[in-house]
Amino acid sequence: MSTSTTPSPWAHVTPGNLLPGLATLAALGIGSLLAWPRLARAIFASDFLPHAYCYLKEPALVWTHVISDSTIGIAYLAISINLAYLVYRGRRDLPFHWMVLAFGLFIVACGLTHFVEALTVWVPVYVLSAILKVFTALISLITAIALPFTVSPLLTMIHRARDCEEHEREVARAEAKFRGLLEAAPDAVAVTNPEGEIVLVNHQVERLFGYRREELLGHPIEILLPQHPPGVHSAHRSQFFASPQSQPLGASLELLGVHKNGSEFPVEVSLSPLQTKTGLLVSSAIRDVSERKREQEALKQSEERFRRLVEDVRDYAIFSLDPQGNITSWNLGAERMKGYQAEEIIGRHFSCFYPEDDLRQGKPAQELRTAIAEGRVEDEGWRVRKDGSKFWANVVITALRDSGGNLKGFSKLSRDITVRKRIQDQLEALNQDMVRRNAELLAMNKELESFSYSVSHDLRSPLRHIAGFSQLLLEEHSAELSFEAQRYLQRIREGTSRMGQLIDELLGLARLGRQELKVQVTSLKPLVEEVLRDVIQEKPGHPIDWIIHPLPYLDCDPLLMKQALTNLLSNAVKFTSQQDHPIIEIGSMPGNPQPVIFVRDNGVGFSMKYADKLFGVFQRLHRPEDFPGTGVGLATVQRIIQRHGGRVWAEAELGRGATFYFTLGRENGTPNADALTSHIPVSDELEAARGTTAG
Amino acid sequence: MAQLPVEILLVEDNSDDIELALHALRRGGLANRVEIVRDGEQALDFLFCRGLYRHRSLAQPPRVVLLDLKLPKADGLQVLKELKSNPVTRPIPVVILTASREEQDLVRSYQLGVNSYIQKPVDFEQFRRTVKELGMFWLVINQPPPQAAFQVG
Repeated sequence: MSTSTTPSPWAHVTPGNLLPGLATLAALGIGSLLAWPRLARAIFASDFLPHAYCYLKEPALVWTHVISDSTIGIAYLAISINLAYLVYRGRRDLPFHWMVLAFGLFIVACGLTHFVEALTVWVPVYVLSAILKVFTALISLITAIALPFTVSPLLTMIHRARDCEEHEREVARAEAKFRGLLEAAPDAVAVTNPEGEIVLVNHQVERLFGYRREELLGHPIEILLPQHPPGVHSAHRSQFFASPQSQPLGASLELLGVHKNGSEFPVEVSLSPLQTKTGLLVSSAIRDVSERKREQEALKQSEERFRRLVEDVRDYAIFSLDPQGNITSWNLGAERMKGYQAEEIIGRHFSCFYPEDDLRQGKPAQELRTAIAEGRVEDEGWRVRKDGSKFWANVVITALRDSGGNLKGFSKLSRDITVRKRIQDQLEALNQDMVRRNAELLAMNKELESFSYSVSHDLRSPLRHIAGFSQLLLEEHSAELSFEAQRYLQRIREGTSRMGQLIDELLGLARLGRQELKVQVTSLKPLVEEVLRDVIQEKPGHPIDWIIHPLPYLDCDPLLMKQALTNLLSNAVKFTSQQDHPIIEIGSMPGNPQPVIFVRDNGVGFSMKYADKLFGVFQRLHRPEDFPGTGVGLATVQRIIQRHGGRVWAEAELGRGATFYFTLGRENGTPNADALTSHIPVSDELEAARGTTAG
Repeated sequence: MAQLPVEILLVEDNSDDIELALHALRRGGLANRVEIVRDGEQALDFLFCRGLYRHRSLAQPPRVVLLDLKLPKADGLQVLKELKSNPVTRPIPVVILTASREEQDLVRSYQLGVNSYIQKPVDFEQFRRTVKELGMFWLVINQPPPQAAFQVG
């Protein structure tokens, strides 16, 4: 053992080289004792009284000393063994370990002194005891002298240790903060060292890639982001490490990420430098962009579909303009309509489609202004094709804005409606024509009205004069007139009377056309009964078998309907007048949309070949001698039914009676004639064919 | 005859009609005190006692006026309107005797307050019967308006 007070030589003392030293020292000591027995004898001389005597062999005192000294010795030994073990384990990390060893030696020495002290109670080896004490004193002295020299560096060391601890706590706090931030980051973040090994990941990385944290640390980042396309990632990284400042890799890279299960997915990676104590690290923020990619892809596809759709539309010219009105896209319809190919028109101003008049008035610009102000503008007008020909177009210009409301341009949709325009013009002309005709018709109607008024007033007067004076002639000058002359006058009278009747009926028919229709829901039955009373009154004593079936309600003008029924029933009465058993039947049957009313008689009937003449004015199918009449009755019926929007028709057979049908409102389909007429009783007398037929 | 009050005022422009009407009246024994005027204006002069007829007295109106509708100058409806809108002449019975059976004429006449409307039949026999019955009714059966009816106020 060196007694040097400077700690530096001790710095090399290690338990490894200390123990052999101690062993050598012990061997030397034992060797010297064996080599020199006298020395041994001198040392171990026990000619003295053992210490027990000093204690008067008082056992309590003796054992107290022995036990205490032994205990102290054992304790000192244990302490020094601990210290030795500490130095041995702590190696060089233990500061001032030579001091510890010195303490250890000092304590061992003290321990030995106490052991020998205990021994000397019975064995009086005082020389040994003295030597040990000298040794112990030396060691103690050396330690005591060396100690002050170590106080200052020890204090420094203690301070340093405290600073160090503080710093470490700070670092730990910063690191905790950093980790917190890392974990809170929405993106998966992996931190790599310059070798590309993962040194730190957050929870999102575990979630995104399916690895546990410990499976990643120390592994290359390529297991998460392989070089795909090859070289990209490492190339970027090495470039990045080469000059982190000039390489703003904050701009994101689009790479493929690989999940633990092998599936690949698109990620967006942004790299940023991380200056640390241990060097420059790279933090990679990784974002799963599968969803965004899908959306973008869907949007792209939808845009593509829409673009194709627009391109393929043939009947509409669809194109777009930039905010200044220059054409930026051109579809097939536009090509067809305007005659320009896409490549020759794109980039030109859309005003080239306008005729000169519109250009002079600044219409193209005006339309864009309106589209900007109101969102869209619609216009119809002439447009010019490439070849200079014109077409009438319907145009819609819509302002296109981005989400921020900034004008991006316009879409323009045009339709060639020249044909429609032409038809519209024609329609308008026709309409005007119709308005004019209507006015003419009204005027004509007015004229007709005054005409019939005139007829009513003026035509009848001369007739009355003829009738009056011929009557007076007959009455007052009959004596002067031959029989023949009187007969002629009689014929004149009859003629005037008939003409008067004709004029009245004709005026009545004319009035029907002008008269306003007063339609109301009308029960047909009372109307028929009323008519029947009048008709029967006209022809008293005529034994007619009336069959009245249930009758419906009709929407009609009751007065006109009564007139129509009067004419029909009068007719039936008239044409059955020569029957022995006249039967007249009135009824209805379902029709579409309105019921069909019929009046059936078993009279003389008529031949169906004259059916088309039946309803004509002054059309008669008989001689007046057989059946009187003016030929206005059925014309009146037809006029009334037609004014109700209905239809009247008849079915008959010569000598077998006739049936007249009418229905109000438009109907579809005519009832079966045979089914309706088959049961009409046939009168034998009527079988005798007549030259004329009933009507 | 001139001093006796007129019983019938016949307003008719057509001479044939006048002759036939007079004939019929005569046959009915009613032609004694008939005054004939040939247009609407004359009719109004007669009834309001002015112009040619200013010597007449409003107090002696005709028992009945037979009025044609189609007349020169003021037509029948105009005459009717003036008569019926004036309290002095309103009580005078007015019978429209016309060829027309147009509804508009009937409507207008009754709206203006006509007392009767008769269409002249074409047949003379019928006409004669009609005129006779008409005269009988207005001159014999019908009670004429009393004097008080003509006093205004």
